[in-house]
Amino acid sequence: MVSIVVVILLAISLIVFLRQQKDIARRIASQRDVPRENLVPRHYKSFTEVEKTLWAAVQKQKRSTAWEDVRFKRSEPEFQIVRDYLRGVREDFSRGHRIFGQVIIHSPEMNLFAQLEWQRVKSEVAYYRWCASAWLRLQTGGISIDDLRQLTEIVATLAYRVRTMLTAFEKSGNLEFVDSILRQS
Amino acid sequence: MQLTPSETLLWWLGIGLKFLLCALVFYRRLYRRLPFFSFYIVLLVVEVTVVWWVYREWGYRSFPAWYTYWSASAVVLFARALVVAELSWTSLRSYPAIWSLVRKLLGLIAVAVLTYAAIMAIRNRSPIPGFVLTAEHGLEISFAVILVALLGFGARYKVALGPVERNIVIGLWVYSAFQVINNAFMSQWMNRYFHWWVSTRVIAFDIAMLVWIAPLRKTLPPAEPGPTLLSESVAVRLLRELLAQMREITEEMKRITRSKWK
Repeated sequence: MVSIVVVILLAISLIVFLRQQKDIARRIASQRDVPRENLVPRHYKSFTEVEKTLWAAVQKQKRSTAWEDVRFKRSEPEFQIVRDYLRGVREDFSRGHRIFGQVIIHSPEMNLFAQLEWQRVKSEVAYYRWCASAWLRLQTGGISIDDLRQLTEIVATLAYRVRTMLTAFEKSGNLEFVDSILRQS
Repeated sequence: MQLTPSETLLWWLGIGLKFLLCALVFYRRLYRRLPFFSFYIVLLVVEVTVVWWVYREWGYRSFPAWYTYWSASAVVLFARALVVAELSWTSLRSYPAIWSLVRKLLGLIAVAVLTYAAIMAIRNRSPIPGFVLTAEHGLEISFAVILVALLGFGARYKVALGPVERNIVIGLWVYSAFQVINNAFMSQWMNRYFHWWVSTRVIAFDIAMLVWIAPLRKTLPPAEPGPTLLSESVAVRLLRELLAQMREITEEMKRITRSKWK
């Protein structure tokens, strides 16, 4: 009976992984001609502009609450700005996470790989913890500008790490390696 | 034991598929890319031919038939284990740290399963079938886990398998999974289930072969160029520097957070 349960669990995992494999192949094929600057995280940089736009929208409505206490709910028109920003930052995170993973699997030493993977897991945990708490806040009162700032910090840290990695490899003359990493992640 | 017409049809279908698959492997020159898989397919054809010839010459219940069947099963099982190792190697060879760990793990699994099978064989009244069946039980579940882990690794680090390799993984997994379930039922109802056990085994293998044949119908796509490699010394030096930098940043951020709360 145990072996049958194991096979069922494995079958579910197999289906999920196969779908992901198809997505990977599709993505690699689709980004062959994408300019290099679009292959690295970039949306998070627009946080200041997003904050300004949201501030202007809130001012138009003449809400009396302090800026830090303003909550953006799904039903409000300015939430579209938040949604667009979140979509971009989510893409940034996935991209940065993939590049980080692609670089560290080339590590020749297991110990080094494990330590780098641990750093990757930590940023992953921070991101998913933010997603869970944002989902909860959206169910209750809406998300604040501070929540968006926290997410931006998480993604910016990851993007900084990725940029440092790629710059270090480029400076050491491994331009081809960096290009292959960007095209395949 | 007399085969029913449907069982006979299944056997013939299986034999036909084995010959077709073998022809396609050579026609598409798959042996250049996956030599162990190609060797395994050739072995399947040799096995079916030899077993059929022995049955015809000496009869189904004869000693040579019994001996040939179990020896051939052991050889084919060993070849399948090599195919799983080959798939792991082709997917992970570009990642030295991971491949060295996986290689050790695969070796460990093989030693553990074979030792267990040897112990069971010594206790069994018929050591050869005892050894083959126990090794098969252990290896089938190991194959199922290893193949899913291989795809899981690909999903985690965004490494895509080629279409041929992916179909081989699916085919092998389908057969191993069927075998695990089949063996679980077999151990519960033994003789009453024997006919079903044999037929399910044949059907599962026919499905696996159809999955393998699918990508071979067309010309193989050129092998994807692997990731550009980096020299070992450069990779170690740069990654160590980056790790130290990351730790520094983390410590700095912790310090800032602590000073904020004071």
